[in-house]
Amino acid sequence: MTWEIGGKTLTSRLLIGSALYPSPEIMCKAIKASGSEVVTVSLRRQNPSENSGGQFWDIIKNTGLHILPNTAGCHSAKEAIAIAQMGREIFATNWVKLEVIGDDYNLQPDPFGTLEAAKELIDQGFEVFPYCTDDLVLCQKLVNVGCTILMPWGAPIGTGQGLLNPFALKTLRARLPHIKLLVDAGMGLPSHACQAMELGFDGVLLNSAIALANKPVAMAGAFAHAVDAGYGAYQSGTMPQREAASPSSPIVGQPFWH
Amino acid sequence: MIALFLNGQPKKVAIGSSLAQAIAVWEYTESNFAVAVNQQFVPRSHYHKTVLNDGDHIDVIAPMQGG
Repeated sequence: MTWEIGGKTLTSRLLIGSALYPSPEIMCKAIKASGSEVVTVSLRRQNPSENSGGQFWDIIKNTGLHILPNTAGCHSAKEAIAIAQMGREIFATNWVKLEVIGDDYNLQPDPFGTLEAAKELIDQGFEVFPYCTDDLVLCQKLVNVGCTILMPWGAPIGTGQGLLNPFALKTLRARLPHIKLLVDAGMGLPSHACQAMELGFDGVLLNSAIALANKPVAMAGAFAHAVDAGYGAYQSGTMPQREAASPSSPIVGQPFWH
Repeated sequence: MIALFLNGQPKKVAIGSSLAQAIAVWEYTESNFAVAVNQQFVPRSHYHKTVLNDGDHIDVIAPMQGG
């Protein structure tokens, strides 16, 4: 089943990163195994003597995936806006994964810088995918400046801890029903991605959990299944939780009862 | 000559050099890069009319792995 995000129609609900793989070959195989149709990339300084950027870009181009340039490493709205503009020129896309980091230890997004940059970038015609915390008020303000996509963290980047605050994520889903919500960062297990989808999220963005697995290609496939399972569960409607046990086999007709 | 910075490294170019001239001197031959001067993005179409000044900080960036 297809879905729409940022003006594009996708089948997969798993967005994937391009960093930390043991090799470019494994990266390509893992991306393919994930079924992802969107890959995020960063932008870094390049000296003319090295052409590492060119080699990497050739590999990514050959995947044929939609490119989601990110502003990873930016610490101010000004930096992020400049990087987004540069990404738009290089990749010929108005998509940007907006990251404005506020704390270097947690790599926690700066809510104020993120909001400032999001507003400016939307005014400039970007489709902003903001990496943000799970704070409801921040997310509402991002929506108010025009964001139709939000990417709250599950846990700090690269920790693999899973969804640390399911209540907050559930609240976002309930309060922002028309916004595309993706959990970005912090997942380590396929079950974490499945849980995000079970909460009603529209997708997940992953990198470390796949790239740092012992077998990244196999893990990419596992995440793909988990995302599908979680999405199917949410669409199916889960049974209500109960405190007391309730037998599933009929009581009527039970033999040997007195 | 004027002194400026390319990706944080000191460089010198002729007085009155345009960004296009500097990029050529520095031998950026690929097309997959973008440029900012003093943290302001400069579109490729503006390279010729962007004159560099003493102390400018020029960043040339290209695609890289990211998550």
